[in-house]
Amino acid sequence: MSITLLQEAIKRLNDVPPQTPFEVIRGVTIRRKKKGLTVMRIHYTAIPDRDPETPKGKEWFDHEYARYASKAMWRKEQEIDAYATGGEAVFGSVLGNEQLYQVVVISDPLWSPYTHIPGAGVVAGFDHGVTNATAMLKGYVPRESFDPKTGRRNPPELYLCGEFYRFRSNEWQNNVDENVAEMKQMPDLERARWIKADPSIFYDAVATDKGAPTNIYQTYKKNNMWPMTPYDGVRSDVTFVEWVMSDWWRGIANGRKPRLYIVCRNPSDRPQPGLHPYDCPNLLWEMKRAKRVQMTSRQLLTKNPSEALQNKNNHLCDCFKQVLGTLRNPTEIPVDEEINEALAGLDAATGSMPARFLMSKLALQGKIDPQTGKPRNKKGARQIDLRRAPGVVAQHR
Amino acid sequence: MSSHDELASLRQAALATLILEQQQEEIDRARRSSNMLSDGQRKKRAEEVRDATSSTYRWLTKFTKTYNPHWKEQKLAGPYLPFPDWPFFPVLLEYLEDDTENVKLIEKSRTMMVTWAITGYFTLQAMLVPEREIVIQTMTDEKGEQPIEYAKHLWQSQPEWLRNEFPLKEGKPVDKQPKNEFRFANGSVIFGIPAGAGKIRSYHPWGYFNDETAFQAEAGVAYDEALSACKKLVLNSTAAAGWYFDFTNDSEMAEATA
Repeated sequence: MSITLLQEAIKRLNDVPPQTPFEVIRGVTIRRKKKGLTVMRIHYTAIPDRDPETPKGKEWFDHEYARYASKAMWRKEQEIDAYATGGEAVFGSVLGNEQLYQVVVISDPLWSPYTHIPGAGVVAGFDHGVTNATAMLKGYVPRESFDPKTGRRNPPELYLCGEFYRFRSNEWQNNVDENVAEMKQMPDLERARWIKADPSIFYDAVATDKGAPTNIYQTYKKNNMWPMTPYDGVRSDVTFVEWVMSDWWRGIANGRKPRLYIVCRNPSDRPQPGLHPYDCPNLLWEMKRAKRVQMTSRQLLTKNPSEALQNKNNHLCDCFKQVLGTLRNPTEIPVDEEINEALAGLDAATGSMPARFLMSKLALQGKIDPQTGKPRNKKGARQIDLRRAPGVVAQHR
Repeated sequence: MSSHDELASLRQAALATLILEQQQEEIDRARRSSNMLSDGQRKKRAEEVRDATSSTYRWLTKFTKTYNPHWKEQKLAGPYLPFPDWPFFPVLLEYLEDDTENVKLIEKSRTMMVTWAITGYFTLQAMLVPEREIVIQTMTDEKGEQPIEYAKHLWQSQPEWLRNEFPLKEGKPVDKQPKNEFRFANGSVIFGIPAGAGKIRSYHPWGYFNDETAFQAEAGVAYDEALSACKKLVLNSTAAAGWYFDFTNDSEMAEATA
């Protein structure tokens, strides 16, 4: 008995990895999911009169393509690209627009933070997960610059360039020790100005065999993770989206230069677990899927439509929020670096005056100890409490 | 055995025969096929019916018609035409008819007539197999009525001898049936229900067709609910970000995690 084209294709699916499509006839493919179910995809080229390789199909294609409002919509409706319009318009107006995508996403394989933004500071956000993903996002903040025309300081820029993304699977247990071992391979993280993490990992909520409860961060510390501090910025998703769209990507549709770039040379339709030293495929995957909370018709009767994002597959977006939320405050530059930079190039004869001026300024800012001249590690300079001065006390009396 | 017992068992057997005869008469009356035709004609008609319904593709392309509201703009001969002979239809219908897997997942470009084809498959199943219950879940109530409308149109567009062979529920011609329901004399029925979790819970259908799944809220939950109750599930959708395309692409975190 002869075997049909479909049977032949299904049979051959057994020899290829999951999600490998097999063409049954022109325009019709079949593939197998990880768990065995098959998926049939029917593309418009399955109809000969719509296949651009035929004269009639070419005519149809030209006519139909011109009718669509955007290329992204065409891709979604006809090319079966579900994420062409970038989720439900959360970041869709940028990531779903091919031109704007190229403006904010760096796809150049030769791009490197060392050559394109030399001397940039490193910052990072971290999100701990057990069954959910554990994620870390690394960003580069170029040194502050000044507008030569106005002399005003330019707002900071951010290059998201590197991520770690792991969730529990058959191959990976997502334990702290194995995650830390892999995260420590991330280049430049050892010189990160800060790594912000979800505050919940610092709460003493983990029971111990003996003594007081401990916290998850202690487990990371025991495994020699780089020091992390709790994120204390705004946690609202709505604000986060507002920051990205209205501040960091403000005016990019009108030709303005973005202040936020995502480096990704390997975008993907599905999660890419592991360490990506200089790319962010999973962040882009999450951002394209970022959706607003969908309310049922009954909820809409009694509540206003929600602008919150769905709390799903948003681990790197949480890291992203921590990075942006912390960068709202000026990025601190290590004092040593600041002093070295200020003193560089001064000669011994005339250098003492600007050096003394700089030291006084830093002492007043509380960055160095006025007595020893050593950095005070954010402890603040010694201050004289005037309220306790005898004269003031006497006056009050 | 006493004569009384013998009489009782004879009466019981006679009653059973009578009931069977009455049932057969009812079926024949419903089919309107036994009383007019000679034995030879009946045999020939049975052959014709068997041939017409031998496959969904044959039935759709030769023995029924669809309607096309754009027929004038597309310069077609009329609004009511048999299914087009596009080469992907035999492959799609073979995929639906294949029983080795009970879940069929379909992704498609717009306006491919895939909803028509799947509705055609389920309509023919309802006609051929008694007591088939089929549920079609769509985005809204109104949209749910559309595949039912397709099913009714496909049934009505058959030649009369095929309609007679697969009659509708007695006293319920097409125009008297509810918009979200299509009942046959053999006990089969097709229901249209709107999207959402819990909507399928009161049904125990053999077939479940979820149309434009990617556009339905709670489609994943609805699918899980249908999975335990149904024997044949078909999910079909054009592209949209959401559960369905994450599910078919193994992009869902739960899927990847398991």
